[in-house]
Amino acid sequence: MSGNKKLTIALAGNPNCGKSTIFNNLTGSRQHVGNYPGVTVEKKEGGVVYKDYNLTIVDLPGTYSLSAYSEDEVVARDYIVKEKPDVVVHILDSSNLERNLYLYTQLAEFDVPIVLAMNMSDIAEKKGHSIDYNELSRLLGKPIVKTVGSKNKGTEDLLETVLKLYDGRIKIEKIKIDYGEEIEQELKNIIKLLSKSKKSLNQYPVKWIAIKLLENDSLAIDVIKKLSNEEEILDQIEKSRHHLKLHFEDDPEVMIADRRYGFISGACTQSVRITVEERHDLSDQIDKIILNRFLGLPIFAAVMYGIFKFTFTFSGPVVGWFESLFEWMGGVVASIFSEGLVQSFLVDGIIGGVGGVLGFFPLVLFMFFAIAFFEDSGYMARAAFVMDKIMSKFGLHGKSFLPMMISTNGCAVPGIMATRTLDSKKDRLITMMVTPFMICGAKLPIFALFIGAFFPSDQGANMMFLMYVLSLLLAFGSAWILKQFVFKGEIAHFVMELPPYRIPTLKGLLLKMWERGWLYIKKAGTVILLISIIVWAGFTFPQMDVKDGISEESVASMQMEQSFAGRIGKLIEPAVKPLGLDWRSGVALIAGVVAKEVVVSTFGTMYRLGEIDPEEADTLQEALIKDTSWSPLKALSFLMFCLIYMPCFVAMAVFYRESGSSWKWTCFLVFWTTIMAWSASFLVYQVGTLLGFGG
Amino acid sequence: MIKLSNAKIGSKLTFISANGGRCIHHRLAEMGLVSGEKIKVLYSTGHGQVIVHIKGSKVAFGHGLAQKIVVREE
Repeated sequence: MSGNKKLTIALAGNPNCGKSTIFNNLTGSRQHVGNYPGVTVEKKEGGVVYKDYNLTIVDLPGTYSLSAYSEDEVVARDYIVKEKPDVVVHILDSSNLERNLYLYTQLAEFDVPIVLAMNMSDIAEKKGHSIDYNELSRLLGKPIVKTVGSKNKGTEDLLETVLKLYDGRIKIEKIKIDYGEEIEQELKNIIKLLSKSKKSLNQYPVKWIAIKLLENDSLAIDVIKKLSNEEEILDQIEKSRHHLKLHFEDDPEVMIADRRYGFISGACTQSVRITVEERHDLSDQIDKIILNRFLGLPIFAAVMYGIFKFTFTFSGPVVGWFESLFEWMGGVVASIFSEGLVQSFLVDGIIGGVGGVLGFFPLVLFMFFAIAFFEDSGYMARAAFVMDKIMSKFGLHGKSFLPMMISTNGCAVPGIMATRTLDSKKDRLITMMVTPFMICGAKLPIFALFIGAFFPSDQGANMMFLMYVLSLLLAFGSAWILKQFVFKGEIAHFVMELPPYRIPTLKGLLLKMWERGWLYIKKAGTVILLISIIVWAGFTFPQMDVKDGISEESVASMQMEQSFAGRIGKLIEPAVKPLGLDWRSGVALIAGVVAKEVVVSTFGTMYRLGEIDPEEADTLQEALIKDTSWSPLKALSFLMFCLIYMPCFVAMAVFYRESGSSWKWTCFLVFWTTIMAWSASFLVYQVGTLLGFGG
Repeated sequence: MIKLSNAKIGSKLTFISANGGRCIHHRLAEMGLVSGEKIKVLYSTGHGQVIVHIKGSKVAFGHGLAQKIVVREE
């Protein structure tokens, strides 16, 4: 069944107001979640059919305001102005109304139909806030729906209200924020000039543009740059701002913010009664420990270590089952098809390649779950605060920490996009440069594979933790160098709202885990599959003439060496030889530029091809252990290279776009990372050999 | 009048002004830090990192910024 009327609903709200929970409630399990890289910071779109309506629900980035300081705010406001959603649902944390309504004072100026979802109304009641919803709705001029996202309460009511508003069964009132005589007069002066111009204001409402101009908003100034009387308007802005500055002894934008809060405070006094004295006891006590200047860092380290311990301890057996499953599948397929190209394609190319990557799926899922737990609990923002002081010493902003964490185990692509929350362009570029160093979900299998094969199993979690510490040090070190030589100047100030602590819901965690896990599977089934096929073909063709008297084993290895991929490998072998690596690692590293999982899948295919009896094949890890050309030192050198070398294609493409389509910075990133990777591996291998770890 | 970075844990303060660029001034105002606003210090590391209650939210200030915020003790 599909509805016949199409309707787009945008969800706006502060971070941590429960927006994503409402999004999940609205779209339900049938949701079609798509990440649209480049449109917003994790803007999500979901479709749902309700009555005879086809609803598209767009989850905008969570912001506190709609000024033009950071990219995510620009995205949210541009979406509302340009895409013109039919209804905007503004989700508010009812227990923190004043702060949440600030965004409303800006949304309301857009002249779009708004429904207010008073979320977390149960928490507000528990805190002793008694809200007169009818009165508040009257004062704000918009319909209000009470919701409790975590318990899926009010969802139906919210949809009904949206439809009523859309059909015109309920009306909204335009609210007017009184900015005071002085500011209003200057606004009138600017509006008069704006209306004189025949050209449109890019669909922006005129009053809104006038306010933004008075605030000296850079994007609003860009909008009027195309107008015929641009000069005149700019003069007027200058005059108005100067006049207001003299009058208030403060910047006009500060006064405007002040007046908005004045409006909010008026509305809240009339409609909210706080019956219990505000108490923050428990959460404040926790913060005093977690943010403590001595305990903060050790706690952070312990939390991270806990995540790895959890992941490795619990995923270990499951990864083993998965590997055995693919091993068994390989055996079954090999017994069905007779020896030849088809069998080799299926067993060596697809099962060996994609299976090698999918074998680590449980590990990635466990990691996503653990990370989601700390994201949802409210700890991550605290970690950014704890890390701020150290990070600033290396030229990074405290907020840089969040993109780096998203990249860690997640993916550098959303990580690079998350740098949009940084206000300063320089801070943003530095963060984008170092974010790819983190061990993302795609690199994780490489590390798990080699650590599992060459280091004692009880040391797995510790080795992994060490690798993460190393990646963090690399990122910090690079940032420091970049700050010293390339991006000189001061770091922007750190100011950040700390969300209240919440106990994550199991449903929320599982959803998040599955959303990200699904992307991993999708990637394995598409990109990794395709590359695995190419890699397999590269090793299989041209086919060698088999001469008599040569053992099957040497035929397999000779075939690989004289194949296309083998020849490429041999060509670059001199470059990786000083790192203790041979041509096979070279091929894996080159293929891995497409996507880092491919490093694993390429080894999977190579070792499968080398097997004589496909029905009795080893798992990839066993094959690596048996291969005497490897040693723990060589494995470490290889891992160092993987840790640092150039980001995958998708990450590079996103970097290119987010750096303002700069070839200069993108090339810089590629060379910088690859040279660093080579040097680090060289050092590890050569020093290691000198110290006698060569083995 | 003192700097926010020097305020004691638990003290109640009135925001006076912030030294620094236009951008940071505006950002603070948008968080509700306008002249006369009452705030409370929840935690201070003693090295310039301060956590403050503003309008029912907890806001963290990094080192450097808290030194530029001028407040009056109640």
